[in-house]
Amino acid sequence: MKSIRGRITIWMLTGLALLWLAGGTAIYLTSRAAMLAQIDTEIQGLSRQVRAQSRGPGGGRGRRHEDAGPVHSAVFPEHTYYQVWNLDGEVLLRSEELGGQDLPRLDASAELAAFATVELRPGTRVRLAATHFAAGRAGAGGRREGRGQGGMNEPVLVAVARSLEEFEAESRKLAWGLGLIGLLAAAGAWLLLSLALRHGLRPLRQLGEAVATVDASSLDVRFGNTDMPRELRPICARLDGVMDRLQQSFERERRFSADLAHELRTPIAELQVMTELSLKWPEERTEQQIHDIRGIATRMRGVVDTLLQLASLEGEGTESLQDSVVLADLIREAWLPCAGLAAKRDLEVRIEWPEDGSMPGNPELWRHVLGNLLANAAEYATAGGRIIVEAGEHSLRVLNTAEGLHPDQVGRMFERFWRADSSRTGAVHCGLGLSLASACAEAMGLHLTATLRQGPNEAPELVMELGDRGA
Amino acid sequence: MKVRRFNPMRVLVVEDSKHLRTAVAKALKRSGYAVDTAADGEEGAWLARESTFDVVVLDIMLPKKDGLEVLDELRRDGIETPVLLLTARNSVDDRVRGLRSGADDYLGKPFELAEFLARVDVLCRRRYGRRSAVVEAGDLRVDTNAKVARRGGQDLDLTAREYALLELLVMQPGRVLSRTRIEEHLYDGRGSRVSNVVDSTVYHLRRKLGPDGREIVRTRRGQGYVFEEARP
Repeated sequence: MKSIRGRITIWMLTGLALLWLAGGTAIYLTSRAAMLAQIDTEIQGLSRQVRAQSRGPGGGRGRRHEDAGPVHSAVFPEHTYYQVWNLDGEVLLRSEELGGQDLPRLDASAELAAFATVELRPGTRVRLAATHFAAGRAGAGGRREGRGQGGMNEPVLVAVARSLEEFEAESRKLAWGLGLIGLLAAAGAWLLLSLALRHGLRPLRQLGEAVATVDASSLDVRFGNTDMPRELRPICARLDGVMDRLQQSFERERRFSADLAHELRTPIAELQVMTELSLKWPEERTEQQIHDIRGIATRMRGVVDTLLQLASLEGEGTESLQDSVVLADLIREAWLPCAGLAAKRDLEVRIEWPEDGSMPGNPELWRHVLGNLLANAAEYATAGGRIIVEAGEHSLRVLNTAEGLHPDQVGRMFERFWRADSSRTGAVHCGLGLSLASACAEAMGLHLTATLRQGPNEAPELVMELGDRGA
Repeated sequence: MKVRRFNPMRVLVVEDSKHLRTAVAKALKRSGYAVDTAADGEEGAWLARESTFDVVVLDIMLPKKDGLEVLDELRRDGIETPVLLLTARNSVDDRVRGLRSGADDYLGKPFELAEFLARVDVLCRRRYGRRSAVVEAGDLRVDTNAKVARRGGQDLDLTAREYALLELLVMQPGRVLSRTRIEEHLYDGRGSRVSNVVDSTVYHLRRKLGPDGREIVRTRRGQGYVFEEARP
């Protein structure tokens, strides 16, 4: 059963049914016992009347039961039987309705009557009470029978039996009544439960409906609000967190798609227009144009190669890339192409990496990382600022002066095609360098981070740090 | 007689890609347009305000100010120059956004040069309320596609500049065009200007139109020139 409503309903109804069963059974048994006790009290009273009536006028010693008249029928209700024995077991008196059949003789003491439910005949169950009356004892009044009273004064055993037919009928009525009430109660409980569940689960249903409407165009939907029941708030908070991440991810993908489109379509447009111009007006053809076309094609190839490299790095495991690499020579090698630009931009450069300093990884990937980080620093460091390559704690750091860089830009630096200038102007960099550096770092089991901090003279500095993932 | 293409229309190309900007400008000039260019949004917005253009070709992803921002500013300032958005962002959403921002047309990159030139041509004609490439005024017939002018069934032997002037005038009949305005259309922003070229061109055009040339191209003293319908 995969329905919360169904489970709660079944559990509740089963529980209620069991409770009703237990309660109903208790009520039934208690009622039966009470009814039976009442019958016992009645037949015990009848026993005394039998004893009293059986003495009769002049009754007493020597009077035989055939001499004793029947007990007045007005005393005895229908389907009630009596029999009297002396201590020798001789039947002194017996009701005619018995038809010569004897009632079972129970052992009763002088103090305590005996009761039993017996089957008198097949299909006829009776409640039997046997009371022992001592000699001279009379009815409830306790008056001693004396001379002149006459009657049977010897000790006798009086048995009175009453048919349980009425009792059983009443019990059956009770059982049926309890059963019917139980069914009605169950129906009522089911109805109430349904309403309660419907109302109680409505926020959950509404939440489900709201989640079902979410698609790529409605990622700004959020679910947490003060109207939500307390039990659902943690779920809503989590959902909102997931939606935030999803929205950011979609936004990144959208930006990536737009930027990729621009990076590929613009050079294709350039090539197309330039070649069509040359074909339509051959006199416009120049050698410079041919060089420009080649430059555009080279740039496109660079973009495609970098993208393919990124794709292959993402699938790469790190197990085979964990050698220890001495970085000093690689740093110098990577810096060489940037030195001219740095000098032109009047940048102060300090490479403070120890000669024997090493980091885990792979030389080829380190070349990509260092090449991109240093080229980035040389290109975008504030003119007249500084670039430093130094060792951190189990990490390598490249920092450069970065005036004009906003903290919110730092978080996006490693997105593909991201550039501070959203126009994407310039043929040199397409915004994949830092993505590639980051992917290379991950492939080596390292992690590349970017932070903005205050440098000397309050000038902001961008710090690129490459270290262990756990650091 | 066919004349070398010389389109009196003036086009502003705002595109940050140097190669594309140069190639597109060259293609437009070869098609007879007077062309000005800008490499960023700020320069493009300034030029569009300062000068009169018949069409603005505007890239979206521009430095300093993006194309949609430029477009928005121009429209807010009441500049109704037709704008052709040229961009690598080709999704339906981007197109709709661009058109709703006030652009008159949208062309995604990469594009066919012929299509680009045709769209610019359409926007120029639309600027003057012309749906057809052929303008008829009385017995004068000017085919703006073929760049040919005929009167009374006879081809008019016009120079490129004379034709450009005639086309500019017939596209706006009854409207006085100042000398400055005419000059702007006959030259792009970086071309050299000769001080009396307008008067000289008007003179020669009138002669070639016929004895009633002065009636067709009238002078409004202190204001400029206006085209009146040529009567047979």
